[in-house]
Amino acid sequence: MPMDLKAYIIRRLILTIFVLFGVLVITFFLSHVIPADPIGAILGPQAPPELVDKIKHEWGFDKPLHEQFIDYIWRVLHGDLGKSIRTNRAVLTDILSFFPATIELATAALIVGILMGIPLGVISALKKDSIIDQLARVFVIAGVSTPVFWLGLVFLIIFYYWLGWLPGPGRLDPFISLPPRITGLLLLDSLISGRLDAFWNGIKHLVMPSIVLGWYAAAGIARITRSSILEVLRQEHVRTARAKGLKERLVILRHVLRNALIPTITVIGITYGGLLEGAVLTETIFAWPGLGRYASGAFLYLDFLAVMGVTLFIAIIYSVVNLIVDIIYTYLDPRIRYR
Amino acid sequence: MTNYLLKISNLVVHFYRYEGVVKALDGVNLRIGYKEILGLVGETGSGKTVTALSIMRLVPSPGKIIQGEILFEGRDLLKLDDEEIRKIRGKEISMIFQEPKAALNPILTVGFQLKEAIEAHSSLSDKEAEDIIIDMLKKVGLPDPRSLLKRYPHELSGGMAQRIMIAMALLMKPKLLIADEPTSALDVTVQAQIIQLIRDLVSEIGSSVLYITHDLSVAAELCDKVAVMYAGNIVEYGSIFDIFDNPMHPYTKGLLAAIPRLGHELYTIEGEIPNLMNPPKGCRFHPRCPHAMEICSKVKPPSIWLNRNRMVACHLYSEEV
Amino acid sequence: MKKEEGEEKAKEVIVSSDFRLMLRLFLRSPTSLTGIIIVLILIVLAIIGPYIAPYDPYLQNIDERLKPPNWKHLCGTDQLGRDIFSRILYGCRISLSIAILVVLVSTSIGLILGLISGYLGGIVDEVLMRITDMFFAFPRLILAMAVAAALGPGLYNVMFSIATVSWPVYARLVRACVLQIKNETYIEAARAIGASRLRIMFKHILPMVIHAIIVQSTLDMGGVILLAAGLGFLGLGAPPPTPEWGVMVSEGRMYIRAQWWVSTFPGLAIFLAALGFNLLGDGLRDVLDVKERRE
Repeated sequence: MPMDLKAYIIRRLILTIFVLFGVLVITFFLSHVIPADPIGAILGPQAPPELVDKIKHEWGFDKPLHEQFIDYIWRVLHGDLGKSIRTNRAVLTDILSFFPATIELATAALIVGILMGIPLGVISALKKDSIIDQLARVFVIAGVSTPVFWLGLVFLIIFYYWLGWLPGPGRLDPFISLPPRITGLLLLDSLISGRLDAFWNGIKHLVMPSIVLGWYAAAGIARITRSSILEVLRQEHVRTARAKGLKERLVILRHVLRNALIPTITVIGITYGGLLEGAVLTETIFAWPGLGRYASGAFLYLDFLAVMGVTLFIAIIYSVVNLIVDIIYTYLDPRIRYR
Repeated sequence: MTNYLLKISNLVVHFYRYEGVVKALDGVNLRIGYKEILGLVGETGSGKTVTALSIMRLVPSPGKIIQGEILFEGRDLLKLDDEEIRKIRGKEISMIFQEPKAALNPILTVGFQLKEAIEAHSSLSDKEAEDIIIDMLKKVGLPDPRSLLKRYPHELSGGMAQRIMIAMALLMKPKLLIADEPTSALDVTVQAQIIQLIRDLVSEIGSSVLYITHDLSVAAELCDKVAVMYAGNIVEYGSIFDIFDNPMHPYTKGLLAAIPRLGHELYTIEGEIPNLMNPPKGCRFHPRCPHAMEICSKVKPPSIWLNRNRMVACHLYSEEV
Repeated sequence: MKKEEGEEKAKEVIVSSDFRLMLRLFLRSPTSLTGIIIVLILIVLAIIGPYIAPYDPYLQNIDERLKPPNWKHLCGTDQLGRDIFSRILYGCRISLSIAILVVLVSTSIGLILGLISGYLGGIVDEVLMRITDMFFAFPRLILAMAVAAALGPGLYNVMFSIATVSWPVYARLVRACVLQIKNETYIEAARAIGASRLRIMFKHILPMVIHAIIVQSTLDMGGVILLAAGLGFLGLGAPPPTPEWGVMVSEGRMYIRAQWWVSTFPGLAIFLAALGFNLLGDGLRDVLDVKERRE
């Protein structure tokens, strides 16, 4: 690895740690400072006052703010995100048990988004203003305007209730038992343990939610791919490549696409954030046992600590994903390192 | 062997923009002989670059070549199909541009891009190609060529980048090199070196050059012949001595007078270049011309050939003839 | 990446003499035309909706519950017999008010902070940039969810949560404009007196900033509408029986098997509203793009 790339990674890591610290500040603020009655929020409205006072003291809510903050950071670093009043388990345990399902969904949706979005963006840019381009642009605008939860419901109505082509909500048909939990990723676990019935069934259940979730991602990716390619086509080095007498195919492949796909990669990082958002909404509809459904259930029950825990967790994952994306981007584009 | 290496006749190019049609080239006539350096001189917006790009068939949309003939060694380049013109680019006709660093792909190494120029037209092995490249890089005056191959464009200075572009353009020993203001973006000291370099190399290879510039004094240093361009037309053509000692077209006279000289007042040509969406009728220069006559605003002046190597497009001279 | 986005938009400057050209270009595009028509319809409905609604949106009628779309009820009735069409019309006003208020608040905060940060530079600027970085570390809905959860349910709390996640984009945008002008005029300002430098900056910055904000906020509106609906869907918004579109979709969820219209029509309204603003914003940006390219 070139020296300058290493230096960049270190710089970026430090920045990420800074940002994560800031994330903690924000979540602390939200959980300790903003609520009028943080204890009430945590314990729920039915808590008896003696319990409230006891917890207040135990958890240090009567200490000055900066001390509370230090306690908070200490707890978080030790993985203590509090206890969920719904499940009665540690929030972190809940999160870790539901997280793999969301990863599975988000990754499937990302694959859908990339497979749909990049080719669409490329064709749309290279055949600008043609019928395909017009259709693609309509798709993109419609895609980013569609509320993902509504799209999920419409898909369910059409493909499950009316047509019966795809299975309904849930990760597996009820009569199929879960494979042993190795990674938490259903598809992987069923492959590892040889449970092909669970594997195929799992895939069938994954189709609709990942398309619904991936729809928005595809639109965003198609859009950035298209504008990125159009931008590159205008650049001078493309003209030089043609002036050298390169075959048009090579001009596009080596001098347009490679350059254009680099910004697309950055967008994929941001898209992952959108996927995490969308997961919250999609999982609810498809009864997908992931972090999103956990979070929205937590809202309904005013399970405050769970909500905060999920928020913090997702912010950390998102930051890490963006860090990785930035590093890949820097690896691909030699110019950035020298800034 | 034809009379001329390159002969452009009556080239008309229009740009179809949102706001209207820009009539960039209005019937350009140009000729370049073998082993000849022709300077194409004119202000920004006169159409010099469009002319050059037309030769390479690289006019960007919304531009379109409406009519004309571009004979290269007798073949009309405008009638060739895509594959035929591709074979000519980079091999028979090469082009270098004004911004050398922008002309290189920032994410590919210099060496890779140089090799591409050879790969596109021959099937030499990697090693053979590299030898040719290293040889050429030495010729353009770049130190340590081997390590240069691994560098990226943003690591280069403007002067170095332009030398690499020149090397790239001359790798396949083209018959015609088109240089579009290659020194405008460089320091003055580097400018002189680059001009010298081009002169030496093309004489060694035996290429002709179409050298585009807005600076008459640069043309004087390098060129055998000069064509003066204004608003999409060639208004005067002749040897460098003819143009400097005996300018005929009022625009050429204006350009020469405008060259700053110590002890003299600064002279500028009145007016501005015309809007090419709605160009002046007749002679496009007439609104700025101190000698304009009535006919100038009605009829476009014809190209008047006084001899094989001297042309002017101006009504002032049609009466004499 | 948000930073580069903001700096890109800062380069789009409009010269008012080309306004007519831009209007012509804008109206020529079918997508922009559709967008502005939809937005105008939305605005009109938001204003007169309650007056033309055929039924009281809160009026329950158990006899008429869960009826499919028919001439009496254009979009059918929900589980409490309320007319969905009327509820959608009332919801239009709600969604649009949320969107406009959010945009006003977040652009104002962003404008002030961006101006301060860009003009003062130094430590203040660094601090603000790190703060916006912190906000960008959260996906928008997630942070809005957390803020809404901290604040509790309610329409104003929803607005506040969305405004909280939206202001950083504007702050960055404004800052980028300020920095661009600052660098350009610094050289001529070196010769001028201190006071006139301030005036130069304000004369040039403000138009540029306002134009950038207008484009960005139009593009943003669609997202805000979706965010608000999402929060409503999750139960963090106006409490039922408020006819907010997201809430309506959520309420209809358990009936989708047989009574598809209860969730579908409100969702369609959300889609059309977001679509209208996105088309409009896209059209605006395209027109500015052409303008910028010509220069």
